[in-house]
Amino acid sequence: MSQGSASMAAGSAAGYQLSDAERTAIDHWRGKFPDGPQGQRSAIIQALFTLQEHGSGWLSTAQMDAVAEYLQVPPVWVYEVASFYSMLETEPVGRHKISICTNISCMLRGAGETVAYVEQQLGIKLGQTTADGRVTLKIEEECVAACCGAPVMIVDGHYHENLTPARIDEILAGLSPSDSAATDDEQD
Amino acid sequence: MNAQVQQDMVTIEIDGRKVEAPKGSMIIEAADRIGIDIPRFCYHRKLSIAANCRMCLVDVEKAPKPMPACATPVADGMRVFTESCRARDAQKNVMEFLLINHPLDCPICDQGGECELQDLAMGYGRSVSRFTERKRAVKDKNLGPLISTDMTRCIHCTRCVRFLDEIAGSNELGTIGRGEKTEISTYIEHSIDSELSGNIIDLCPVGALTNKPFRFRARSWEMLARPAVSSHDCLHSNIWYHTRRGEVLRAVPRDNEAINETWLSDRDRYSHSGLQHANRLLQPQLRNGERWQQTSWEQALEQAVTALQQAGDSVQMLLSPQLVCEEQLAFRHWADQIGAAVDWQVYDHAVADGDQPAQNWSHSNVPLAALERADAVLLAGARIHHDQPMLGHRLRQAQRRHGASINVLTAAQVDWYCRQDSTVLAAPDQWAQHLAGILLALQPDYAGQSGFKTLMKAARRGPEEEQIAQRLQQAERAVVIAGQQIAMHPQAGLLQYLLRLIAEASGSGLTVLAAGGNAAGAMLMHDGAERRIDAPKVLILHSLQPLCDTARPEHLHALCQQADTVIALSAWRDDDLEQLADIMLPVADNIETGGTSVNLNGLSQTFAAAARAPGSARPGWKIARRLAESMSAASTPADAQDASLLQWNDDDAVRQAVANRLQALREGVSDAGSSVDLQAVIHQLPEKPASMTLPKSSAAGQLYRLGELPMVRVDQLCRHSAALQASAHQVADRQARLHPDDLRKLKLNDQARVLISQGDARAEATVVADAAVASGCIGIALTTALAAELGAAFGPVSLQPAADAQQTLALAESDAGDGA
Repeated sequence: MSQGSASMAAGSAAGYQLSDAERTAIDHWRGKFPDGPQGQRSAIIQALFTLQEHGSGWLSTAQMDAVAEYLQVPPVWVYEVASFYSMLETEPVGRHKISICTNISCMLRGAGETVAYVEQQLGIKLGQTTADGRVTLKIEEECVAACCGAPVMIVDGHYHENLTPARIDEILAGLSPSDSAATDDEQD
Repeated sequence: MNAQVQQDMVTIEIDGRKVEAPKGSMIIEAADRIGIDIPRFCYHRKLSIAANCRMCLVDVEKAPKPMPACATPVADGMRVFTESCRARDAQKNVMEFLLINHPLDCPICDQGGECELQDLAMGYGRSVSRFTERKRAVKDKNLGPLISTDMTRCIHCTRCVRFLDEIAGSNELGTIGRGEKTEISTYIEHSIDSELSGNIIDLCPVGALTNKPFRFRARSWEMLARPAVSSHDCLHSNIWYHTRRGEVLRAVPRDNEAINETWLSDRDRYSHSGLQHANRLLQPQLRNGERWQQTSWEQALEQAVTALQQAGDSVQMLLSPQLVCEEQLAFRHWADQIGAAVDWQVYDHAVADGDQPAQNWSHSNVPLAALERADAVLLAGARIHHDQPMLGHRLRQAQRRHGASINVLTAAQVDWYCRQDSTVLAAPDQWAQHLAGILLALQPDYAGQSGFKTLMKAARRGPEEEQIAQRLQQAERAVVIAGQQIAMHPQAGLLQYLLRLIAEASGSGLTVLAAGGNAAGAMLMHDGAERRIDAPKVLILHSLQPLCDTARPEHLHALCQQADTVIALSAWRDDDLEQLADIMLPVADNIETGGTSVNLNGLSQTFAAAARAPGSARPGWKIARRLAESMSAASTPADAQDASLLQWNDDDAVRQAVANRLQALREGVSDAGSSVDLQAVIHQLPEKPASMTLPKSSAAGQLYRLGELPMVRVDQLCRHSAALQASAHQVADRQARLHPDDLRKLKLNDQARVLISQGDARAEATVVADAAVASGCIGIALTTALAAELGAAFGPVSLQPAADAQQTLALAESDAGDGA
C-alpha cells in the first residue's frame, strides 16, 4: 500500500525484533486472507494477539511498529486496531486480567457490589494494577453474552458466573501469587 | 454504444424530480447533480464512502428505515424524499447526537462563519440542548506548524483520515480508540508531513483542524476572495487568496478539475506569508561602500540609467522563470531596445564545455488529468512529490485506480507514496548509461547506429532496465517523465533526448519537467532572444537571489563581482543581494501584480493582482518602462525605438500585449488559429544533442554531486514564508548526504565534519549517512549556504575530513602569505 509509511515505521521500530515463532504465527494468519493491502490489514488483529500472548501481556509501540513493518501496512492502521479492541493492551498490565461485566443484566444482578467487593479485596480501583503486578482490573467491559449467569466476570479469558463474595474469594485465591500465571492458562 | 449507456443508467426520482444516474452510483451524487442539497459531513466526492456521520439520512420509498444517501446505490424506479417528515426527523436526530459532545465555542472558533456544522445546525439543530450531562473533552494534538487542532470539536467524520490514506498516501492519521473515547490522532505524537497536508483543513467540516498561521487573524466575512494562479511549480494550481485591505491572509484551493481538482499543495497554500516578511524591500536602496542607503525612486533610477548608459550593450538581464509573462515580455522588449542579453534559464547547467543544453521549461503531450489513467510510468530524475506535488498525486492515483506500474530512475530514494515496481538507484553521472540500457532493451538496433555506438557500449542493461522497457512497451497508456533534476543536469540535452527516444520506442507519452513555475511562459516570451554575454558591465537581476536561484551559484557569483553595477529588482532584502548588488529596487511579487502564466499543458491563465504591494514596490514592468523611457529620452529619439514598451500605460495594456503575443504563437502553429491552448507550441521534442558524449564521471575517490532543489525553497516567496520554513520539508543548512558504504570507504563517521571541494570551490559541511542515496553520489541541497559556496548543482566533488583540511588550508595560507 504505502512504501512511505512503512519506511516511517522503520525509524521507530528499531526497538523490537520479531522472533521466528512470531513471524511464523503472523505468516500463518496472513495466509488466510486475500493478497493486497486489505488482506495484510486483516492479519493485524491476530498478529497483535500473537505478540501480546508471546510477550509481556501488552503491546509496546515498538512491537506495533514491528507488526506494521512486517505486514507492510502503515503503522497507524496497527495503532487503530490495538487501541480499538479491549482485549489488546497498549499499557503494561498485571499477570492476571479481571474484567467484570457491568452491563444491564449483570447490573440488575448486583454487578456494582461485585466491582466494589473485588476492588476492596485487591485494594485497587477499576483500571489499576496491584502493586505486585499480579492483577489488573480492567476498566470497562461490554456485555460478555453470559446474562443467564449474571453477575459475570472474566479472569484471564475464563468465565466465572453467578458470583458471590465467597466465590470471588475462591477465584482470587486461586490466582498464582507470584511469577507464574501458567497454571491458570492450562485450564482449558 | 447508446444501448450500452441506456443499460448502465437508471432513472430515480428525488423529491418528485426525475434524474438519470449511472448504476452503482449513490443517491447523494444524483441529488448533487440536480442541485438538491442533502446535508452531509463525512461524504466527499473525492474520497471513499464512510457513511459514518449519518447526517445524509433520506427517506426511500419501501425502505423500512431512513437510508444514508451517500451509501445507498440508486435502483431503477427508486423514489427518494429528502425533506419528508421521516427524513427530516432522522436528520434532526443525527444532528442532536453530533452536537452532544460538540463544544459551544463558535465565538472563539476559527471555523465560525464557514463551518459546515454551524450551517447545518441552523437548519437541523434544536435551539436548546436536551443533553445535560458532561461533554467530553479531547486533548489537542500537535500536528506541526501548518495545522492547528481543537480535537474536542471533532465529529469523527474521518475525512482527514481518508484523505491522508487515499489522496496523500502518507497515512499519518487514524481513528484511535473506541466508542466515546474515539479520537482522531497520530497515536505517536508527530507532525503531519505530507506535502498535501493542508487539504485536511479544508476537508474538516468543523473547527477541529484549522490553518495554524492564519489562526485568529480574520473572520471569513471580513475577507475578499481573489482568484489567482500559483507559480511555484509548472502546474499552476488555481487558488483563492483571501485578503483583507489588500493583504493576503490565507489561500484556499479554487476548483479546477484539469489541474488541482479541489486540492492545493502546502507550498501553494502557505507561501503567501512570505509577502509579509520583515525583510520586504520597501524603498529603493543604493550601495554606499559597505553600507546601504535608502533613496528615492528618482535617484535610484537615475543611478541605474547612468550605469546602463556607460555599459552600452554590455548588459545582461536575468529573470526568474517564475515571473509572469507580463514581466518577461516587458524585459524582453527593453532588452531588445537597448541591445542587451536577456535570460531566464537560470537552472540551465550548460555553460561548461561538453555540457548539453536542456529544455528548461515544462511541457507534456499528456494532459494532467490523463496522467491519472496511465498504466506504466517511468520517472527519471524527478522527486515528483517534492517538485510538482499535484503531479505526484495524479501518478499515485494512476496506481491506486489502474494499477499503474511506477518505475523510477533516481539518485536518492524519497517517499513515493506508492509501490515502486522497478527502481534504478544510480548516481547522476550514471543516468545516461541506464537510460541507454532501457532504450537498448526497447530497440536493440541502436547498438549499431552511428552517433550512438560509444553510448550504447557503455549502456547498463540489467534486469531492472529490461523490466522497465517491457512494462512501457506492454502498457497502453505509458508515460515517460523527464524530471526537474534532468533539466539541471550537465548532460540534460542527452538525457532528455534519450527519454524522448524511450518514449517513442515504447509508444509512451512524454512529459519534460523543469524548475521555475512559469518557465514555459518565459520560453514563449523570450523565444529568439540573445541569451547571455560574457562578463556584462551591468547585470540586472529580477526576483532572483544570485546564490540560490541558479544551478551554478559560483558562476553567477563571479558575474556579479565582475559587473560594474548589479541592479537587483527584488521584493526582499536578502543577504546575497546586499552583498553583491549595487542598486536594489523594490518590486512587487506575482501575487501583487497578477498576470499570465502558461503551464506544462500549454494552458495560459490570467489573473488580477490579489494583494497590494507594500511600501513603494512597483511591478517590474513599470520599472522596465520607466528605465526604457529615461534611456530613450537621453539618447535616441523614441520613434527610433521599438516603442511598444513605452505605450504600456496600465495593466490592461500589458495583459493585452501578452495576449497578442500568445495569440500570434497559436496562429503560428495552426492554420485556423483555433487551437485553444499552447501545447503545440511548447511541446517541442528534445533534439539530438550536437555531441553524444557521456558525462564526466567522478574520478576514483570522488563522489558525484546531486543538487536537489528543496521543496520549500524553490523561490524567494517560499523562502520567506515562515510557515513553510518551519515545516518538516525544511532542509538542514550545511549537510551532505552519503550512502553509509561510501562513508566507510572514505573512513568518515556519520556526522563528521568534512571539507568538500568542487573545482576551485571549497566548503565545510557535516556528512550524514543515508542509505536512500545511491552509492557514489552525494546529496547537497541547493539554495543552502553550503550550495552557495560550492559549484554547479551536478558534478564531481571530493571530500576530506575537516581536521586534515584545516591543516592543508593553513599551509596553503602560509604559502600564500610567504608569496606576498
